[in-house]
Amino acid sequence: MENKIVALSQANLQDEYQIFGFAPEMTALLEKLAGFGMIPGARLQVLQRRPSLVIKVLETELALDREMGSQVFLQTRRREKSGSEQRAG
Amino acid sequence: MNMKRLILVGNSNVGKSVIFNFLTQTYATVSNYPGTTVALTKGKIVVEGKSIEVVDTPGINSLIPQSDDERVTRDLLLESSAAVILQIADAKNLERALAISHQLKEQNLPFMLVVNMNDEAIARGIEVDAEALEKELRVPVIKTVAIRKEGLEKIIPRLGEARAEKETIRDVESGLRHQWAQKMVEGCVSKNCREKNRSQTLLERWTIHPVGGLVVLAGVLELVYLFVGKFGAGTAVDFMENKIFGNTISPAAIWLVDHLLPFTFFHNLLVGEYGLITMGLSYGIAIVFPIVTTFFIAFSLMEDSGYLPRLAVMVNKLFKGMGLNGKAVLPMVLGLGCDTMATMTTRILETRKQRLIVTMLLALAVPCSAQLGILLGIFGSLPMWTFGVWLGVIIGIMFGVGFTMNKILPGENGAFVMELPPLRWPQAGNVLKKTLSRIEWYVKEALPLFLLGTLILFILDALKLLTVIQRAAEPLVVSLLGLPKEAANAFLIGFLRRDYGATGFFDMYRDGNLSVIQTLVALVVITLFVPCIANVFMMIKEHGRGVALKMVCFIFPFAFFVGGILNWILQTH
Repeated sequence: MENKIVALSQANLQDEYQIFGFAPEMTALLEKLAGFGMIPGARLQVLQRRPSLVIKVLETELALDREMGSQVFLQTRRREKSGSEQRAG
Repeated sequence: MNMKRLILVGNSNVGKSVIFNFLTQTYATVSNYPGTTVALTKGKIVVEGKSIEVVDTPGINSLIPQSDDERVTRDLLLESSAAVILQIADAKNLERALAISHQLKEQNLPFMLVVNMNDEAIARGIEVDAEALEKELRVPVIKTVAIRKEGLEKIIPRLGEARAEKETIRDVESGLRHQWAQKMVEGCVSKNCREKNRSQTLLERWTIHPVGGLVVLAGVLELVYLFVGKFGAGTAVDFMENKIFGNTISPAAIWLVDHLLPFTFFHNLLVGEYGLITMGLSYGIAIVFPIVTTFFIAFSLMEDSGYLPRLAVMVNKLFKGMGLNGKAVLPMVLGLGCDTMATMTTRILETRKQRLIVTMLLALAVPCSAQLGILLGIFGSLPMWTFGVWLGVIIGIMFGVGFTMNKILPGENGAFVMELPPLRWPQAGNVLKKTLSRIEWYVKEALPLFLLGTLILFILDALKLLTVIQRAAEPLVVSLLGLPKEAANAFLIGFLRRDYGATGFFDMYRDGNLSVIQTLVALVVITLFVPCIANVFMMIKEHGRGVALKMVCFIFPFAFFVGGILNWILQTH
């Protein structure tokens, strides 16, 4: 399954992604975001876009400026097979 | 074991306060870290017969400071000798906690890890292997569910095992501590993702839904109005003002003063028309105190339940036009309780520009609970449309001034990054402590200033300067605002004693001396005035005399200007 890179603003709601990276404009915020667990490789879901952008990084929910949607990049996660799928072979 | 101090650290919303309360049991004190505005809660605990100081720090995300809270916490940790650190972690967010643990190890600080909130973790299929974690970290690790008091009894006995494990972790530079934390979690925490990850509960989703969120907000506002407006400003104030002060304290004070200090001067100073007791104290204690207390309770409930950040989400877009972001909702809402305290809270805003804008808006357009209570009572007796006009003007001015200041002032607007903790039942202990600490602040800081304001009025009246000032203001009041000259008196007093201004006008209306339009104009102007003398002092404290002076010199003329325009519009239509 190939890994597509999408901007946060283009991600499907509720789907699971992995953080790929951040645009250069975000450099000043990187340390702060890392404190909330937003680091490359972390699992992320977009919960809603209005009235604010709300995401879930691991088990932390964060509200962000809508503008950040175009400055954070995600890649689709390789889905691990669930137990029943493994048994089915 | 040589331990003189126990310091609690951890991310926000991990249950530090609950564990602190469990450890210290008796009343704790709140004081600022020297030279800063960051408040630390301190208590005592007895371990092996020795009394040890326990300090609770604000929630942090890192010891590399990104805020005053983090700077103070780091400074406290580095400068404390003979201190043991109790790091509290959220079991479902261990990656974030371990990033802090890494920093503690790097700094060679002795600590112990309490992994709390295991109930919420298990509900999401997350289970922490404490023994494995303890083996990897080489510090004691205890699992707890603090609100159920589970596991807490293990903390004190194991404090002696806390140790500093200076670790120059191979292959890990400081910038990669998050990757290290992630690896630790992978090794010691099982995450059962067979079902889809727990999504938000329905209620949580509704609180930040574009439509549902507004419904919830309206509901919350209604509840707050009923509790603060009807019970606080109505029932409680009536009781305090009439039964307590009217029937008991004021007559007793008058009797005492007239018998112990039977001179006119003392009578007027203490129990006269502008008496410190009959006016100053009665105002501060009988009127403002019940209202502010009910407001603080309501506010603490919103804080502790986790609703406040969701409120910020709903208003973020609204605030952006004013150069602010959703975070400013905290001081703005607090301003509806007490503008002075809210002005102090502007410290949490990231940029100076935002702090200035919010300070101005608080002083100009946010009526505090004392004033709001009176105003709502008055508008109940006036035609409905007057309330609509008042509300429209105030809100319009708030946005207009905010928008303008945003364009004029140089500087950055902060980025909006806000954590949304899960909605939880507010803990009675937490709410009580937060409310008490705010009340304590009010009694120590605001009440003396009300007395000062009363004293100033007394002096002005005694020196007959009161009439001089009123005469000077009359032309403005009469020609510009279309009000009778007696209104000048109400304006002057309204600054030093909030409710007198508004009720002064209401009395004039009821006596037939003011028309509906005139009353409306007067109420709009007095709402726009700087709330009270305590607020001015806080503005000076936060931003310096120059800035405070500029703001005050803008606000008062501007209030009259708006009143004049409103008067003109209403009279000619």
